[in-house]
Amino acid sequence: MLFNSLEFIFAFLPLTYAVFWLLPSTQLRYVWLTLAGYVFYGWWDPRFCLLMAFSTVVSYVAGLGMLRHPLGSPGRKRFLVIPITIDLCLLAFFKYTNFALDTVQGVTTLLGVPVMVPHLDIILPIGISFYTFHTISYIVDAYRGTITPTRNLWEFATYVSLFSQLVAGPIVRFRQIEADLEAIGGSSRTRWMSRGLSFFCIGLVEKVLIADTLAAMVDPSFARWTELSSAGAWLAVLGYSFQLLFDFSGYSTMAVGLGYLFAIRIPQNFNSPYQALNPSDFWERWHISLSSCLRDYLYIPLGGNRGGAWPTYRNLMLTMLFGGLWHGASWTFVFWGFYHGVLLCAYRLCRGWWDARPRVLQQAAMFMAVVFGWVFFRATSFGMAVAICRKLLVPTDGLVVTDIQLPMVLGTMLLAAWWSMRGPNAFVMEHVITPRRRLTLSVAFGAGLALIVTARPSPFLYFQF
Amino acid sequence: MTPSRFVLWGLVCVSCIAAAFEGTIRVDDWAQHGVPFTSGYTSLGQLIIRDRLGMHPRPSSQFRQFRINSLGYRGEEWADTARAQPRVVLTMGASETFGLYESAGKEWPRQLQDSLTTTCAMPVRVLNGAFAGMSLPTVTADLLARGRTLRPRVVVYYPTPVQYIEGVALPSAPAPTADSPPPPPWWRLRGPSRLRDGIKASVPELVLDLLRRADTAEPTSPVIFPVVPEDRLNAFEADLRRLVGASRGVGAIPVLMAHRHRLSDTLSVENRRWLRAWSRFYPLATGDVLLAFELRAIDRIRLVARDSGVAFVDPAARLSATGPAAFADFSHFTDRGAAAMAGATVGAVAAAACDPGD
Repeated sequence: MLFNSLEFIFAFLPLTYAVFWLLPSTQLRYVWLTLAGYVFYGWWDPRFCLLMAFSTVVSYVAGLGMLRHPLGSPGRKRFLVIPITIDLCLLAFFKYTNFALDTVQGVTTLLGVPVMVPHLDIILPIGISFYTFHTISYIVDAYRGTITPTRNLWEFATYVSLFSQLVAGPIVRFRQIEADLEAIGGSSRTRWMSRGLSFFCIGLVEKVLIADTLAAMVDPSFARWTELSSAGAWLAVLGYSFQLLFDFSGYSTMAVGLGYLFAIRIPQNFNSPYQALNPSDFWERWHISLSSCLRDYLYIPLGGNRGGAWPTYRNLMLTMLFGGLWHGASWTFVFWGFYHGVLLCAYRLCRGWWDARPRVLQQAAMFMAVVFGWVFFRATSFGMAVAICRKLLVPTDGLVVTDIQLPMVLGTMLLAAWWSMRGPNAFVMEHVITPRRRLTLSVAFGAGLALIVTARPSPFLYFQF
Repeated sequence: MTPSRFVLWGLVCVSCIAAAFEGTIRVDDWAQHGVPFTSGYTSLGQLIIRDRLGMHPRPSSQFRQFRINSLGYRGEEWADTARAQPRVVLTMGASETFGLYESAGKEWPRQLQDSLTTTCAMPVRVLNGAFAGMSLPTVTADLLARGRTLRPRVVVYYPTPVQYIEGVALPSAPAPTADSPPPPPWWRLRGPSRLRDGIKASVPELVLDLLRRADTAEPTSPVIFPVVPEDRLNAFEADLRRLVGASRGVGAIPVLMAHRHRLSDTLSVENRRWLRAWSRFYPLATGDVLLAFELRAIDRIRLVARDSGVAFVDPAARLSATGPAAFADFSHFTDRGAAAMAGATVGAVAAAACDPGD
C-alpha cells in the first residue's frame, strides 16, 4: 500500500486512526498499530510479513537476552552477534545473492575462465533494508547500553512494523521514539493533529505534484538515453535530481505527518540538502537517518577521525562504499558511494580553501557535484552512466524526450529548483492552522488527490532500496 | 469555533478541494495528452455521435489519450500525409480495435501502421475506424457512409461475436439523424467520473470479484441462451457476409480476423474471475455459453473467409506466445498484446495493401 493511494488515504488511514484513538490502553494500541503495520506491509505480498515477524522475534529475544547479561559480559556479545548475523544473512540472501552471482560470472569471464552461474528467482521484500537497519540499530544500542531493551513484545513489534516508516524510512532508532511509544496510552489526539495533517499534505504535494510530474519526463528520457541530446540529457539528469529529492523527501514528510497523527514524533530525514555548501554539509542534510546510522554504527566503530589523516580517509571511503551498496545491489551504486567518499575526502583535504569561496559558488558547485553523482545512481550500467556524462559535457545532437508538455516540465523544475535551493522545508514551516493555511492545505490536498486518481499511484523510488 | 462556523469552514474547504481537484485534472489532461483546458468531454462515450452519416466518432474530439482526428478516426491527423497519396487500410471493430488500455499510439492499428511503414515500399496509412461498442451492422453502415470516401485499399475487421448474445434484439445499425449534436459545454466537470474510475481501480481484485459474484448470483434478467443459439450465429454469419460484400463494393480487399480472449484456460482461478467479469456484460447467457459462442463464431468467420476467398487471420498463436501479458482484461489488449495483433495482421495486410502491381 502506498501513502499516495486512495485505499490508504480513504480506507486504511481513517480506520487505523479512528480505532487507535478509541482504544483505551497502551497495550491495545500497540497491538492495533502492529496489526495495521502488518496489513500495510502485507498489502504488497503477505509472504513478506513472515520475514518481518521472524526478524522482529529474533531481535526481541536478543533484547531479552541482553537484559540477563550485564554490560561487557561474554554472554551479552552472543546476543549481539547471532541476531545481527541472522539479519544480515537475510538481507544478503534477498538483496545481494544475484549481485554476488553476477559478479562471480563477470570476474570469471574477465579472467577467461567463464563460469555459468544461474540467476536465482528471488523476490526482494520491499523495505527489507530499512527494517533490517531498525532491528540492527536496536540490538547494537541495547548491547552498548544506550537503550534498555523492552520486555513488551508488542511495543517492540510496533516499533519495527510502524507503517509510517516501515518501508522507506526514516530509519528511526528505538531511543528516538521510545518515550512516545511508552506514553502512547495517554497521549493527546489533538495536540499534534494539525501538525500531522499539515506535514502529510506538504509531503503529498512534494511527491505527487512535483516528483511524479518530473517522472513523466525523467523515466522516458532514461529509457531512451541513447537518443538524448545534450539539452535532453541535462533536462533528464536535473529532473531526476529534483525527482529523487522530492520523492524521498515527500515520503519522509508524509511519514513524519503520519507519526504525529498517532502522537509519535519521527525525526527529520531531509533538511534541504540542495542548500548544502560542501559534501559534509550535504550528508548532514540528505537522508539524515541513514547517514547518522552509518556514522554511529560503522564510521565511528571503524575508528572515525581518531587515527590521523589516512585512517580517516579510509574510514570515510569504507563507510560510503557500504552506503552505496546499501542503496542497491549493483556496482553503479558502489561507484556512487565511492564518488561521494572521494568528495568527502577531497573536502577534508582542502576545507580551508573551499570554505573561503562565496556561499553561492559553494552551493552551486556542491549541487553540480551531487547531480553528476545521481547519473551513476540512476544508470543501469557504467556504459550508460559514462555516455550520459559525456552528453552532459560535450554538445550532442539528439532529442529532448518527455511524455508531458515541455512547459509543464520546465515550470515544475523551476518550482522544484526554487523550493529545494531557496525555499523552506516542512520542518521550518509554520503548522498552526490559520484560515489562510487551511485553504492552502485544502487546495494542496485537492490537487494531490486529482493526480492520484488520474494516474495510478506511482511507487516511491526508495522502496527499491 | 462555533458549530455554524465549523460547518461553514467545512464547506469552504470542501469547495477548495473540489476546485483544486477539477483544475488539476484539467491541467494534467493538457500536460499529458494535450487536451484543451476548456474541453467538456468527460467520458469515452461522448466521443460517439449520431448524425446524417449514422453513428461514428465525433471529428476533432478528445477524451484523455483518446484523440479522434478531423476525419473522425482515432489517431493522427490525415492531412500531413495526404499529399503522398497513401494506400488506406481501414481497421474496423469494437473496443479491442479502438484500444482502451494501450498507451497512446500503441493500439494495434497504430502498431500495424508502424509495421507496414517498414514492410511496404509505398506509403500506407492505417485508419482506426473502430469505436467502443461498435456492432457489425454499424461497421458495415459506417464503411458505406464514411469509409468509402477514403477509398480504402484494405478493410480489416476484428469482430466481437458475443455482441450477438448481448441483447434480446439482434445488433443493428442506428439510423442516421438529421441533426448533429453539439459538443459538451466546457463547464462539464471531469472530476466526478475520474474519481469514480480512481476508486474502482483502487479496489482490490479479490473484493471486485466478490462484488461480481454477488451481482451475478441473482441475475436481473433471465438467462435466455442456456446453449449456443444457432439463429444468432446465423445472423452473425449473414452480417459478416454483408460486410465482405460492402468492402468489395467500395473497392477494398477485406481481411477477416478471429476474435481471441484470455480465457483459453478457464480452470485457473484468475481466468474464472475474468470470465465472471466478462459475463456481467452479457447477462442473457452463461459464461460457458459465451466461450462456446466465441469458438463457434470463429468457425463461421473462417467459413465466410473461405467461401468469399478473403484472407483470414487468427492471432491466437501470437497472443498465446505473449501469454496473459497480452490482455489488460478479458479481451482488451495491453501494448504487448496490441503488438502481437499487429504482428499477426501485417503479413495479410501487406500482401493486399503493398502490392505494387496496381
